[in-house]
Amino acid sequence: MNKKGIMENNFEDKMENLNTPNTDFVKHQEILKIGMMNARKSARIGIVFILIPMLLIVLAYLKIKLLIHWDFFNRLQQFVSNQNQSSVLSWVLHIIFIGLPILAIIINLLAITHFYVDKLNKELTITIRYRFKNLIVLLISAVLVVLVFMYVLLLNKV
Amino acid sequence: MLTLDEEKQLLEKIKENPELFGKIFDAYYKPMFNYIFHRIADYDISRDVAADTFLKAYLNINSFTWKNVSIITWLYRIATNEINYYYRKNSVTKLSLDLLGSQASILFEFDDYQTEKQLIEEELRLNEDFDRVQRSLRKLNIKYQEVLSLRFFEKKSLKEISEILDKKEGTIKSLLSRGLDKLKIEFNSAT
Repeated sequence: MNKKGIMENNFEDKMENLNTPNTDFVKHQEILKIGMMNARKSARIGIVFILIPMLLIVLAYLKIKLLIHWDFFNRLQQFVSNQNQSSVLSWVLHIIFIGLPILAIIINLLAITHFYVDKLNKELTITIRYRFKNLIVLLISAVLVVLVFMYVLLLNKV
Repeated sequence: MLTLDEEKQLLEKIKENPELFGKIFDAYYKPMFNYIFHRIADYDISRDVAADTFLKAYLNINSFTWKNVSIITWLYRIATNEINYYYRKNSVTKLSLDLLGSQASILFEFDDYQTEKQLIEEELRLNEDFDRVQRSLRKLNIKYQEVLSLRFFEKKSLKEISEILDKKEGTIKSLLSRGLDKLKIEFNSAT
């Protein structure tokens, strides 16, 4: 059926019988589903990853600003600042205090960002979706990484 | 497709375990993508709009109140709003959608993006009449595009369209009649 055909016959009938493109073969939804369903998981995993460093920062704040001394924190602080740790333990601490928050940042960034290439105008467009939980985890993780880095720098100076 | 009973039970379970939304996604993604693609006729943009549609549905699923109407009706409504939002946002490109053809491709994906896109574009080429009708349809007001595409592309009944668009059947009937006249004029003057 061509355009002329449509014009000659009853337009409504032809519209009723119009064949439409079939898109039933699409498979891209699998990737989309993983990304969408994992957004909440990303936030949850992120929270687990930043839990220990966050606890340390909160305890440090309680000790320094509010002068609340907890024996647990003092021991933890000594343990973290101990220069004579074995290399394995040192690596574990680095992973917990720097690696995991950075991983939380990466996972949550991937959960909320999309990248598009505009070939016509040669532009890269980055879209950030507003997902409250992911953004909060992202923000806390970033603050933690900065604070831990500052702590390590100060420790090295001292 | 899920039965109404299955949907109702699933919605109850989703309240306790949101990840079960995946079943709704699996059951209705293809018809929704089909609808969006028929409205937009661009693979990349349709993917984006479909993603936004399901993300919105996923985030708001607990606010969905069961009224003995299939959840796909609600999904059609969200998709329609997303399409309208896309057109409002791109009111300049709406007039010349040819420019948009394949301008956005998604990075960092490992699926058969190019193959799927080529197959869909081939489908569009094979359905030449649809392509022409679709181009004419895009020149009409959104309110006509909505009803005409649901009626003639998705083969929905008046009742279904009225549920999807939340308008009276009489209103849909008159929009269809006026829209069809306008589409005919556009179509005939297209070449």
